[in-house]
Amino acid sequence: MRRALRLPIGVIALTALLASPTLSTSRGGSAAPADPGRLRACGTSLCAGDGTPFLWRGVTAFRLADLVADGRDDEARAFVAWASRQGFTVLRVLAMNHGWIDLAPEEGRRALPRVFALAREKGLYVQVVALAGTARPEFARDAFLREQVRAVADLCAQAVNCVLEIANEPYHSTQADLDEDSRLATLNKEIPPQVLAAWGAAPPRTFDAATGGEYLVAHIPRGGDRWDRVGLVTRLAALARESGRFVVDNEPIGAAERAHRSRRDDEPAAFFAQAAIGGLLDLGSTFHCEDCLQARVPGPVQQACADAFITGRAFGEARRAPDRQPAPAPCLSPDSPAMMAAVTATLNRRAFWQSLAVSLSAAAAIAQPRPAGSATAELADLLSLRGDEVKWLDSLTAPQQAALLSGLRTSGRPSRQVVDLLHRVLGRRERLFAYVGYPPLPNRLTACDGLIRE
Amino acid sequence: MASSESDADLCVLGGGIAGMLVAERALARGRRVLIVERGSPLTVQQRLAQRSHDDPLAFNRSPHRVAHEPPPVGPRIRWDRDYPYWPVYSLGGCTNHFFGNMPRFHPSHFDQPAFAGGVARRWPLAYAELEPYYLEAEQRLAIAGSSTRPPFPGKFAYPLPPHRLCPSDRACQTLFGEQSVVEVPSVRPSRAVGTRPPCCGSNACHLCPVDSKGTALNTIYPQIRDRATIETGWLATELHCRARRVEGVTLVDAKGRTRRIVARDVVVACNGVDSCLLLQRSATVPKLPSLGLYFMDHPLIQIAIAGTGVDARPGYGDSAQTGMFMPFFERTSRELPVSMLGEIRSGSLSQPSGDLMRDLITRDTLGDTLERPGTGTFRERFSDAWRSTLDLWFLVEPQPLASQTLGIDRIEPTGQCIPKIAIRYPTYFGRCVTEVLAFVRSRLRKGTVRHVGSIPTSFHWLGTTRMAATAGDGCVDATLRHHELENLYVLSTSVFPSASSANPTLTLAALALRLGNQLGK
Repeated sequence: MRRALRLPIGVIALTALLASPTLSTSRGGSAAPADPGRLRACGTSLCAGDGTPFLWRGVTAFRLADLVADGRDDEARAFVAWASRQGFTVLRVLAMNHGWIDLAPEEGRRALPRVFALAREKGLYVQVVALAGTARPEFARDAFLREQVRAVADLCAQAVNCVLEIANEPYHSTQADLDEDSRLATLNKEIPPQVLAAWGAAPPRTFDAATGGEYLVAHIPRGGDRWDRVGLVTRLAALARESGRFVVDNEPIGAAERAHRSRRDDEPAAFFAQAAIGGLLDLGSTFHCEDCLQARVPGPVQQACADAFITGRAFGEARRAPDRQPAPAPCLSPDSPAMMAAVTATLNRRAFWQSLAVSLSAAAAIAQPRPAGSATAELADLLSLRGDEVKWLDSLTAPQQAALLSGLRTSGRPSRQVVDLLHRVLGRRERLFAYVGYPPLPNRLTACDGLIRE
Repeated sequence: MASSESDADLCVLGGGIAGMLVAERALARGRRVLIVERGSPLTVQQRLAQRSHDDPLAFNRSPHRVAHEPPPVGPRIRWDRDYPYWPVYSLGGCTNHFFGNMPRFHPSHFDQPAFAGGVARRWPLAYAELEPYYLEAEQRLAIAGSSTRPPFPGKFAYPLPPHRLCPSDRACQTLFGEQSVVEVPSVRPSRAVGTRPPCCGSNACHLCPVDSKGTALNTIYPQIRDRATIETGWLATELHCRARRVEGVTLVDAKGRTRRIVARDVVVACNGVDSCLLLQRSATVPKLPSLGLYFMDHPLIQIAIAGTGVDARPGYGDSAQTGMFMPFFERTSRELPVSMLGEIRSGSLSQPSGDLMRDLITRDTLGDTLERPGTGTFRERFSDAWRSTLDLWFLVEPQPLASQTLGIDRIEPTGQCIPKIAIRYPTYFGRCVTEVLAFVRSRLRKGTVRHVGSIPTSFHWLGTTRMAATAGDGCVDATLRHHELENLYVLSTSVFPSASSANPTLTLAALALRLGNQLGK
């Protein structure tokens, strides 16, 4: 109690504001879903094939395919098991590279089915990066690039638990000249429609700019003040809203046993805050760490950062709209006193709460973009639209929204115009059959959803 | 004209389910078979990629819209002035596109006396003669259905278990009695068949995203493609007849090249419209009096039931449609002279324009919810109301009338024959609507029933080369052989003398197997 009283009053108020009744009731589960099916875009979120919202808790595992290609199956299996126990849901894996990992494209492609199988055993998804280290002349040819993307995408299409990232940082000096939209668009044509694909992250100065793909990946700059960097996550929510696509905080600063300015961090609180904001704002979050690059179970400091990251994710996810409850974190439940004690024991408490105050304030501001009192806000309130659903009103112009609002305030039989406007808002067409376990046909049209999303 | 002597015993014109089944059966009996298909061999992947069944060849243009009178009763909705003739011209035909319901005809439907001033005919074969072929067809096509609770007494042995009745079906049972609903026999599999997964229930059967639904292409074609000669992209434009035999068939391809083929027997297995058109456009085919007359299609009555308090959960079920509504299926069970088969829609397809059945119901429900304030938020009240809505369609048995005709409107330079169709809603259609509404209202304790609208077509084209005992009454005999051409057979729904209210594909498949046995002798 004495410690709590020393906290800034704003932090206490904010924490109370964001507290969710589910916090005291949610419990950690035992395992990820057995087979929720292929991921697909659902507006600014992702859905599993069975229609349930998918919560992206990623972890870097660049070397995983290389381990498999080298026959080091036990090491690969150990890392996947660790990631699963930890509560991660996505492994980010390179399909090729030249440099600190030498993984020939054909070897990577041969290894990928095994990678998918290992991940699937644990209920994990794999985000495959098709192109990495392509600056070498033999790779920097259109024919090769197309063939590599096509081959990896085909493998991805055969595996239910795969999503694609065409290129790791297309602008990077280790890549062929990939940072032209037209070139990436050409490569994108090689990808079968059922495979969810992002093109790659935008350069650091424009990290929150939309690139191509069905979902977006963003790499937040690693320089500057730690807490400023954490606060940048909120800009990804704006990116999601503006682009209408799901955004992953894909490769933030990594954890390491010792901090390295602008490259690695060892402060668990920062990882907690970064993941909490991501969870709160319905972004994907990926944990990046030195050992994770090697697909190796991390050392103790990195482990503490990973624990804080997962706990932060669960903390943020638990405070989202009620219809988007978090998936259970297998070993880390945010409401577990023992867990919180274990995590906070490793934290710099002052920095921890400071980061929360700063970042959650920013997140709360982002989460309420509509000005109160506008027709949009009133309609959203009248129709009980929650979270992303408020965007359904964008299908109406301002005069139409005013007409609908007026109609809804009028008693008696509504006019045909009012019913048509209401239908346009609520008659959304996105099938969410709970039992569908097969790849969805994009844009297939059915009638039941929209308001009646169950 | 190029001429090619075919060494086939049997030439089948049309690579749909009927053509492929008759070919398979004839091949099994040692016959050499040539299949000529006007469409392209589009794969599932190609159709999915182009998001349609459109065939690229110039003579396969579809759909065609024919002016049509609005329905005699009820609200006007989309298609109330259109009769859309919408064939699928690609290898596999309409099974690529259809919904997959495969009920048998009721035995009484083969024994139609004249009714309502019409000239309906008994079929020249009885249900009992066709029952073994129904059984075979159900096995061959891996139909999912209930053998223990079939729609009428008889032999039933479906190879797959039925789909579980969905909440909307069970709501109907609650309201109308358990016997009112039976599981619809369906070619959408209830469990995996070979490489085909069970039906995903995504309501996208017209373009099945996982190729689960059984089609001619994924079920029969793999068994015959290496044993039969299959020529795609060739349109049959004329049958050449002399001395009571077909001596040759002229084919044209998309580049305008023509060739002529010959075979010992010829089976016209185009769809229910094009089979008749081919006979009509062939100058030397005898024009029997019934050719092109008695055109039939199943008009649809759509009704919505709302406010029953029963949780129907539209949109949820094992498959796109799982239940058939039976009270009107047996013709003699009601006052009306015709049969009606009810389909309980568990979540109809819709379009962005939002003007299909479920949209109309949704609009009504929105209006009702706004008009009647109650406790709870608008969203809660609307969701409750919406969940208790039921969406029923009734296929009405049409009347075979000589005034309902199919003819040639024009022949395009590509060789495609554009049909001219004269068809009306039956004179008893209004009574059918009244009867359905009265029946439903009489069994509702609360709630409302609305006639949402009517549609003139179920895309079932029947009757214009009908089967009859004599050449004066029909074009083909009970064996499907042309009355005046000893080696010409017609195998399409155009041979049906009457229409039942059941979906026609299974009956056509049974006829195909029967004809295949006969031609294999």
